Amino acid sequence: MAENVEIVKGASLWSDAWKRLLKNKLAVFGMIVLAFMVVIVIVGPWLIRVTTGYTADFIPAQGDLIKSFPPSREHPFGTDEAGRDLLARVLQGGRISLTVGIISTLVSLIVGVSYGAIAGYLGGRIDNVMMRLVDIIYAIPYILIVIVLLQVFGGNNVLVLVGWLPQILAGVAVTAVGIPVAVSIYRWAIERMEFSLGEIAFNLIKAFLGVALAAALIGAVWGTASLVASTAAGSWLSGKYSANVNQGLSQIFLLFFALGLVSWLTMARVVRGQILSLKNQEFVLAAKATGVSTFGIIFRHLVPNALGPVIVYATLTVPSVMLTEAFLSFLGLGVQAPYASWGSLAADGIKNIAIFPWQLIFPGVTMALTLFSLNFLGDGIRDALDPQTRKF
Amino acid sequence: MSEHNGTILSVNDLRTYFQTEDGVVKAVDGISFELKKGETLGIVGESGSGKSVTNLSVMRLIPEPPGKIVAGDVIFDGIDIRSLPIDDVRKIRGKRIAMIFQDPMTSLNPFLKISTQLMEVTQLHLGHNKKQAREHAIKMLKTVGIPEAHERVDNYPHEFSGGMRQRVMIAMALSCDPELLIADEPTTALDVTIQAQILELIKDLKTRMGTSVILITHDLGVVAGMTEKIIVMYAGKVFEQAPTTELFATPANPYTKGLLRSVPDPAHEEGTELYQIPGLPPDVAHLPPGCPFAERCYRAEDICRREFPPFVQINSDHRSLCHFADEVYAESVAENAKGNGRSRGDAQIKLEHEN
Repeated sequence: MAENVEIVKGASLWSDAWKRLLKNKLAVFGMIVLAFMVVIVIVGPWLIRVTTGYTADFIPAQGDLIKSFPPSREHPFGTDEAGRDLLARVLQGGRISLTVGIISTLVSLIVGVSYGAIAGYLGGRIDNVMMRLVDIIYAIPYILIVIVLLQVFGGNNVLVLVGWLPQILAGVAVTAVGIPVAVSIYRWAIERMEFSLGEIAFNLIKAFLGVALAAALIGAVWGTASLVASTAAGSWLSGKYSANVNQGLSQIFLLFFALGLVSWLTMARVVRGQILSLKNQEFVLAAKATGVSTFGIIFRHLVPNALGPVIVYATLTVPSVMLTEAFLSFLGLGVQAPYASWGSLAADGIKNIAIFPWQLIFPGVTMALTLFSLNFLGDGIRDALDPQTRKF
Repeated sequence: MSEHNGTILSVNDLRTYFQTEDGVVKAVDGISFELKKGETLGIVGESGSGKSVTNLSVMRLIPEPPGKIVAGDVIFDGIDIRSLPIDDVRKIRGKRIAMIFQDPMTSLNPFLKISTQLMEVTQLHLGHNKKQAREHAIKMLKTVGIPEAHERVDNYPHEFSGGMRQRVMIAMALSCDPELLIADEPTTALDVTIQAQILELIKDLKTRMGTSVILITHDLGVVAGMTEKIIVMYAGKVFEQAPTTELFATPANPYTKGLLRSVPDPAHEEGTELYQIPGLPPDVAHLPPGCPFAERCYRAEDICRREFPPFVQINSDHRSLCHFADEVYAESVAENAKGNGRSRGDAQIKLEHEN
């Protein structure tokens, strides 16, 4: 063997895709704008406070009749109708808008990917039930869900939610422990009886045992939950948190929750489709034959293979969620003063568009720029990961 | 282990059926065999004859539903695989029984590095930490003859050629030092030179590690040089079961004879047609009441179409599923004695070469 045989460092799929992405001018533009936006949103409000002393919710005391000034050296974006510095508010709003986008996308990634992957891999009846559930949630208009959620749990009602937290957690814990235990007891009992009884009697007892088991489980969960709720731990928790719940903040968290709740549905479908086409490949059988567990096959072998479409879809979810958030805030359902998001800023601005146009223009343009960049980047990633779909 | 008389795997009347819209497909219908430690068994048959399903059943890898092992025992080293909980089956898979698949192009995960896939096995079964597992992976790659194993271990499957991928598969299968290796058409997707190398490798590793091997193939040349006994399958049934030398020399089943005649003869005269068994394999979902091979058989008589043939015991190791097994056997013996065993084909030449 010759000694000058050199092992070529093979290009992985990711480095190939990265190269293709860098060739796409729009995607690079999007990436740069996004990076700039993220940095400025993180350090911007702090920078403004240090240099000029304005913050997003600082209202000057002196009582002019008109408090909204056009852009000037002191206020580069002007001020809003209460006299707050608009630049600081836009940056502050950017924090919330971007966080909403990212958190909801993370929720959709974690929930959607695992849900879709499990449904797709297990298939059959489980898949059917799981995907019908998705269909049902899909069928409910998400705006309705969000409005109901915000109305029920928004404002003071969030205290109810926090108060119920220990019960919910206890219920989940009991369910997690109780079901496997109960099922193994059930199996054990069934095995004992299988040989000693006739088939019909056996099936009858089996069904009876199953119903009894379900009833016992529900009772146990319920009982434990109420027990925990009545203990000191529960009241301590709710007491401690009810004092600290900040109304505006709780509204924002509810928004995260509500948007996350609906954003994972499409992701689950995308992933399920991918997994369905992958699970009959021979490497899955090979992995099974080497003794890898179902969990290992789904998350170590199948999910990475489905990652391409997932990434593409995730990058396109961020702008769509941000848009939804802006829409909700625009309607007055989402983020409320003194907190700001781009949507709520735009909603404030549109009221005075004839007199103080800068109140709408600056948040609007910033948001449009960000959304454009995200969409360009998403398209660029899709083309980079799957060169065949590119048409030009 | 001595209480099993050195038997590593015994399969008894195994039946695996698939429920399809077209009816019940009896993919494997009553197969029995025994495999001793260090022995190699060949399973031969056309596509769809149930070779692969037999071995997937042994490892409990039949997709359920639609498949189901409806009857029979699979005893591996004294353990009844069929009644074992699935978690315990997983502990056997890959550790004590390993499998090599037909197509090395698709049986490695394209998204994971070779190292990840090799390390996963030993981390799972031998409790290796990352470092140990990596070293073991490199060692295994060296064992199967991959040059520059240190660098290659971090490559992706697409950076390997077909033959090298099959080597990686073998490395993966052997990394826990299994007692039984099931090779499901390991050379079908490879070209002939690579095929020879891979077979040589399996043979070499087998003698070195003392592994028992089940070799599934439809290439008679492959089993001839590798195996001690052979099972010929057709339409989910065992048609003939015999030690390799005996099967090649004196087949007792018309189907086996047909298979042996179909092997291209190097001394074949130009211009004359190559022999092939007429017709197509039957639809396993709708088998006729008689012998499933009757329609294609050169010596089929009325009884073949009417009645299912008996499993005739020729001698202690040799059995054949045919109404006329004894006559066919006598025919083969006579042909063999004449010394112009045309039916033996080049597989026989290869066999003699090996011996």
